[in-house]
Amino acid sequence: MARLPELQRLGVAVVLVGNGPPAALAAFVRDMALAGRGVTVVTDPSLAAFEAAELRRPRFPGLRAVGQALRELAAGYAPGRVVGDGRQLGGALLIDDGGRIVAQYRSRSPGDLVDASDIVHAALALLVEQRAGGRRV
Amino acid sequence: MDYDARMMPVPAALRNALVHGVDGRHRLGDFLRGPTLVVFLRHFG
Repeated sequence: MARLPELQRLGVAVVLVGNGPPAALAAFVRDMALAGRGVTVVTDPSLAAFEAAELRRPRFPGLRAVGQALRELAAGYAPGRVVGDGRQLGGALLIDDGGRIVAQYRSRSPGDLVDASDIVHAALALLVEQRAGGRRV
Repeated sequence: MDYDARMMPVPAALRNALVHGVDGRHRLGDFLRGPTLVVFLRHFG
């Protein structure tokens, strides 16, 4: 979220899609200080949007996830209570004004998160492309 | 991020997915009216 102002300056709207119960949405917005930041926050407990985005939902966490969890615990980070689907992994899609996906990221394990710099880079590339009249640069 | 997906249209199932906002239910596509970053969170919390 630290790079959010950069995306907004580039004219990129941000939509966060959770999967917890709708009743938990307001608390999430409050706890993450998202109110008034120009971010749309929604939730899809049915996971239909996650499935349509082809995001992973592994049956077992896998060795990579176990290793990441151990490293987090060793670093003093104790995970909080999960509100939502504990197996569902996340991801990100960058969509242009023509409704096309121009960049995407799908987590491979719980600790595998998209790099914020990659997102800003992709948004910059999109902006440059739009200004170049749709020509790939 | 993976750039191989360039110019792939947003799947209809994703655009039509029902989501809950603080002000009620919407189609996810309702929010895709310009350059948009959609971030799917693992969960709340």
